[in-house]
Amino acid sequence: MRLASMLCAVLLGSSLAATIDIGEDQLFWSKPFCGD
Amino acid sequence: MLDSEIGNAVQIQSISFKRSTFGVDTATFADLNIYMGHGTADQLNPVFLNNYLPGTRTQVFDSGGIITLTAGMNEWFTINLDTPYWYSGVNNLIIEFEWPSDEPSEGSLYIWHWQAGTNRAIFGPFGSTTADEFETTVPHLRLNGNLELQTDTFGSIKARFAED
Repeated sequence: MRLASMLCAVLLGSSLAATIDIGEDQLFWSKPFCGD
Repeated sequence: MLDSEIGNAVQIQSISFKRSTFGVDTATFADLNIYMGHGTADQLNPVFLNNYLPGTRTQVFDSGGIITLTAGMNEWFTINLDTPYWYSGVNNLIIEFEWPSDEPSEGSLYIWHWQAGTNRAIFGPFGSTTADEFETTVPHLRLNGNLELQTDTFGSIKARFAED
């Protein structure tokens, strides 16, 4: 199963949906989401 | 964002930010534009455009007028890009926001930030070419998109299985 998945990825040149999470919840500011 | 923080080449389709526990749940902009590009320096130059590698600055979002963003406390909100941006994984990623303070702009979304280092975010009046505020904090954000898969050969795949 792993082999099949990997081969399909290589053969089709498909991409992998992902979310890259950068940072932490440390301090809060309005910037850059200050409408006014 | 530094290349070391992103860690991958990625086709960015949307970006998300996390509202804090402070303030109101909406912010309205008369207009909002977002640009992305590549840069080499780990600290930003006061001249906005000098931070980009030539030819890489790309407008990825244009609200085309009034836009209201909404998020509850500690909720993520997402901006879908008009034009996906290909981040190569080499050099740093610059994200630039531009908005006027014209009517009917109203409200602010206070989003979570983190301490990233000297001159990691810069700000200036709308229309100015240089910044007058320099920050050590940047937003906690998510880049949503598709990762580039490493091109591989059947030979190396077989070799990896042999190692398992």
